[in-house]
Amino acid sequence: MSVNKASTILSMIEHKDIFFRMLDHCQEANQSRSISFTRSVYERLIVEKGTTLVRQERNKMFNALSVENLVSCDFTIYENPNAGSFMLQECLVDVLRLLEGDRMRTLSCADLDLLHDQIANTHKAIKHHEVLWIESDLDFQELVRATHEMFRSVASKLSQNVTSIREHANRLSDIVDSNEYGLLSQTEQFSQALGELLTIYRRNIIPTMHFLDERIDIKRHNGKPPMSLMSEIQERFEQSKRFNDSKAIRRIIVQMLSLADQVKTIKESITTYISLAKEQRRRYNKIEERFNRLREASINTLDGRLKGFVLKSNMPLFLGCERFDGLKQRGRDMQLIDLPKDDLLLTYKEFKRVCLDTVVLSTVTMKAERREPASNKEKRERDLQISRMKTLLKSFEVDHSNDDVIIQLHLFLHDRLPGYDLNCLIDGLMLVESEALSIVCPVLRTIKFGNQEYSYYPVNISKFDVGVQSES
Amino acid sequence: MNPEKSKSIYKILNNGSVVNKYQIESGHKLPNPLYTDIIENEQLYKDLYRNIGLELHHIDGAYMLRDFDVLGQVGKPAMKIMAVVDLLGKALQVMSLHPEIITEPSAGLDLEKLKSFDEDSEFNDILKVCDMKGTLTEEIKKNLVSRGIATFNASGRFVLNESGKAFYEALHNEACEVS
Repeated sequence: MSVNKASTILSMIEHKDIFFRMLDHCQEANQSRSISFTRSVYERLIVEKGTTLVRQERNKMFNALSVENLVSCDFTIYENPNAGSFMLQECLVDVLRLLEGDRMRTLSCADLDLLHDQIANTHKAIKHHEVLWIESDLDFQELVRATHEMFRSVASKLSQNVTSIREHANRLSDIVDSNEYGLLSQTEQFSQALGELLTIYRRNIIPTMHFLDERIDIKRHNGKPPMSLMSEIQERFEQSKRFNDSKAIRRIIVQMLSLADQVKTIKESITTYISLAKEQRRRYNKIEERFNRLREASINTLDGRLKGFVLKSNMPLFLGCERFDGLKQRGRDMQLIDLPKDDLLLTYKEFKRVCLDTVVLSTVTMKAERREPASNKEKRERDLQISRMKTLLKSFEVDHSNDDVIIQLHLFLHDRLPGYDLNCLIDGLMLVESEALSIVCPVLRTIKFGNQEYSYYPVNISKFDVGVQSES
Repeated sequence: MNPEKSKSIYKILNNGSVVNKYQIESGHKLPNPLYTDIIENEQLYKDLYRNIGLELHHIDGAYMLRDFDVLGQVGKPAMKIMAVVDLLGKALQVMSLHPEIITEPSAGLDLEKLKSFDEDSEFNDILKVCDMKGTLTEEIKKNLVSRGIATFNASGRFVLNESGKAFYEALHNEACEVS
């Protein structure tokens, strides 16, 4: 069922949230510039909205907002049934945006350049020598109408731009102000808001201020500053005695110039945030720079050929840490030496004596004990073996290049003594004078012979004096 | 000069730590009595340490002990602190966190969040060439927390003390002078 244009517009305003969601959807899909609505998404949103309404209102909304009705009311620029998309008239989108301040479009540098071109073209047309400033001339009438239209359009866009900048700046400033550093969840939102503020400052505020300043001398591809061109157009009307037109244009120019003050106020209100954002960006760069230098140094140092190398603390890389220059190394928890207070020498001597006893004791212990013979036969055999060893050991000479006397004795007896086993080595050691025996190093060594094993500490060779104990 | 406090101060300073102006308790900064004792008897303390070849030095809200023999040359402790602070800054940046999270006593950073950097080869290589064998979290504890440059707040989160905060900001805010 067809609905008339006025009711359709009312319905659109009443259910504006549907269109806001569509605008958001376009923005998410990076179509913010074209604002081409996807029919399926639009119809799904209408159905969703319908579930919250009573039957009569639902039917009314379905009729008014159906794509077919929008097309029949000429509210669409086009409707593409193959692609399933349609585009609303720009003026309708602007009306909807007007209902929510921060949805209004801000003018970017490119937008401002286009406006500038528009003004420059009008200026060129007005100043053209072929223009006949005669009231009855149709071309002239059209030119005057187009000039007024252009001024109105530029003023309207700039006014919307300023409102939008203010709304955006306020919303983002609120986000930044309410940030709590302790809450990690807010960090991303905070950074994003600061980034957006910086973008608005650079891409919207500063270009708008430049646009509205008729004195600023910036090199432009399209000649003079836009406000200066507008003033010249107004002066041309005045020279031609068209005072009504001149007055109307002058009023618009003054209104536009007053926007410059508003933009300046917005700029001042966000200066703190801008410096914060700039500071953050500088810090980011600084940290990256420092990290990259460290990383480069680590790559150069750990390149395989220089394995195990570390950076020197006096390298230029570490300039800047002077405030901790000379800081003490962390000490270990070492206790002070706790000596008795008096008679220190006596205590020291006593300490040495006790330690010496321990050393002697360990040397004696080193002389491994051998099991006593169980029978007379065994005793006779052992005595015979010992007497053979005594004879052999007279020719035993210590090799001073080898620090292990016991292994020397083992090899010596093994080569010369028939029926040798490790018991014989123990007997042999007992035959050797042992006063100078002392442990060279506390590392246990082991001799394996047949199924026997003998563990011992190597003895000090320099003090070893081999001999045979007297038979007495 | 309070003998008990003097003993504690010596123990802290001689261990390569700093005596901070404030101590963090329950997320709040409270004056440190040891720092107050040094401030009240500063000349006395300075003379005391000078006689044993050390210098009592004041840095941004903290006192530290410096060795006269190595003055004028950047020592290994300073180098390690600097490298750890740089890596900490980078880690915060990777996690999109503000530095305020480690400079505000009530905020603080859970060191568990830095665990992912313990396995990062770039971080580990940098620590290795700066003569540190541990991981980032270990070296933070070793070089910052145990030296009093940082601490843990009431929630068990890592926060920089006055000296650490000043060092962090000086490193990352000043214009780079290294060619």
